[in-house]
Amino acid sequence: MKRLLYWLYLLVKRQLKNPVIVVVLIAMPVAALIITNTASFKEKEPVRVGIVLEDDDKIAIMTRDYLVNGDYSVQFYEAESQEKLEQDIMNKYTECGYVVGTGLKDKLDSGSYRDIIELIICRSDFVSSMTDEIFFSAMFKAYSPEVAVNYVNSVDIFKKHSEKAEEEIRKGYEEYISGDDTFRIDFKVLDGVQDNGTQLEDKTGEFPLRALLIILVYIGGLFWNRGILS
Amino acid sequence: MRRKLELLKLQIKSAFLSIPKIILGTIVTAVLVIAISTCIGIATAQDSDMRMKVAVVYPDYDDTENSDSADNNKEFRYIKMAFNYVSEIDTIKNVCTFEYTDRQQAIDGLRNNYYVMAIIVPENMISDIMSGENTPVEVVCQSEGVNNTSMIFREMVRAGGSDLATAEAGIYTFDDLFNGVLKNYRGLRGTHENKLNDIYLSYALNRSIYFKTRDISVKEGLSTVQFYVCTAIVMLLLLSTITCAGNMKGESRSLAKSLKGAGISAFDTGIARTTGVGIVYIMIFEVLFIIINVMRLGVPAISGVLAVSTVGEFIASILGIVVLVYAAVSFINCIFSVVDDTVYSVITVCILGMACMYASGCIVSSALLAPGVRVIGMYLPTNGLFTLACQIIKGTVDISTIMTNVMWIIIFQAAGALAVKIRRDR
Repeated sequence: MKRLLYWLYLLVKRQLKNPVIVVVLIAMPVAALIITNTASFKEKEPVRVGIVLEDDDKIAIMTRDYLVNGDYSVQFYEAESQEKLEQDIMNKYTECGYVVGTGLKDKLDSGSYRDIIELIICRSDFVSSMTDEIFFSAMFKAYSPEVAVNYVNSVDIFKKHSEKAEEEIRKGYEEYISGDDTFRIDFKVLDGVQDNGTQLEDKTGEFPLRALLIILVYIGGLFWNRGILS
Repeated sequence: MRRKLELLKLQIKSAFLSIPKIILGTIVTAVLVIAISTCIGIATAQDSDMRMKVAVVYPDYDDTENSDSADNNKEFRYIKMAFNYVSEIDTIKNVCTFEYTDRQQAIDGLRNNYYVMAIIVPENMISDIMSGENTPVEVVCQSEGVNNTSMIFREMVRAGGSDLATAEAGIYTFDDLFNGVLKNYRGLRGTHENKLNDIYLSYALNRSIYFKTRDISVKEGLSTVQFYVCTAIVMLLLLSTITCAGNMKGESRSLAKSLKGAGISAFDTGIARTTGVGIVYIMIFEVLFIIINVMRLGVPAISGVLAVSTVGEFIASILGIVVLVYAAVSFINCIFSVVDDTVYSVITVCILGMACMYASGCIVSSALLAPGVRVIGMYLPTNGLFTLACQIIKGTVDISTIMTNVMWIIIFQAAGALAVKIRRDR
């Protein structure tokens, strides 16, 4: 036992002679302390998505308002300009951004809506797929009454009632969309625990310790193989 | 100068003598990386274990005794069709699979973490929607373990539900007109409602056509495959430490003294060592790059990954490879010079490299990182390496990325030389 302890002592002494090991041994707890005490490393900041409107189109403004005021897992905001938005995306301050071109309503009305919204990303992957869906649902919500109004105006026999019909459509649509008469989804959590996880950043700032340990084991394995081979 | 050139020649010669070992090591590492990825891919494709399992519960569903009746149920068929459609959407397809089951199995699955979510479809949902009576769909999540993937899925389900509700609100409003201003045309209600329904569908079905994507990091953006190819390239370069460890380890004390006596500085030895190993790796990567480009003629699918289209882009990519490899080897050399122990150096390069790759958003999207990590990641060398790798396969190598990597080369060489000098003078 005494021999074993002495051997261990010599082994540790030899390792501690290497200044890098000493630095690493000191740096690891210091880094852990810094990470746990620095707000920006554990901050639960939501993923931000910018919006730029190129004109005062009615549908574009409504879409923006729905998005900015909505309760989503990402945070939508109106950017000052396209340049500022691109800068924020490049600096990773914003995940991605949407630039709504001019005449959104006219383009939707005419059916020529291919590529009407520019999505600006910087190496983004699935997050922008999700925000596309959210953006579309807000735009569709804003534009939906126009579809019904346009339809009434397009049918000859309804045209003479178009003014009154438009008024009724807008009023009725507001009631339906804000009421409980349309399709809805109830999100529940198993065993009735309060569902408060609505932000995308949840659990994202955690350092991937397990992944690093796996890599360490992997490298160890490769090293071991290399030792055997050589 | 002659002595320095002699040292460079010796280092290159030494590296070239190690070519079989380096090639073998690179192949073994690449095969291991590919094998692991393939295994994961097969497991994902066959068993879907890597994807989230979402339970779809329909009250009439009975998979053990009466499967025919379930299949014959018209409502259930519509529900299944709807979920089949949803499951084909790329974003959904990549993250989850749907399994039809009963309520109890779904709840049990949620409890034992088999399912991450259960969608409980109410009985007669389709007829309810048609008649205007909307019983809500319940989406039950686990009380713990809600991660970003399930969050994204939940948000997409919510957005899809909102689209349906929006279309319904439009149709119902139109329907109400036949009780008011259009009451004289009640006989036409069905026909016009169907037409309006079709119009709503035409707006909502193909949502991707509304968006034109512009990637400001590279000219035209990276596909998922390209993203992971770049991750693999950078990872392979960093893991090459294991293979070239023998060439990168520092000289013995006596040799160091001799070199110092001969007027060869620590900076010169670092440059010579990096150049020797770098040339071998540059050759390997250049040859692979040329072969893959030639293969594109016969296998068009490769063009989906390697998108170099003109001679100019090809030459720029060739230059990019030189800088990329040299920067990666300089990083490795710097760590070896600082740590001065082969085993610890390899471990440090790999751990530090992976941590830097993670922070730079090369492994997971940087959007999913904490803001502090995201900002730090932008200033790490892996960000420059990854950006250059992306530009090489896209054929969009630009001077600013090259200069960023050249700057890193200078920093690494200087830091490595400083470490060696301090050790020599001690």
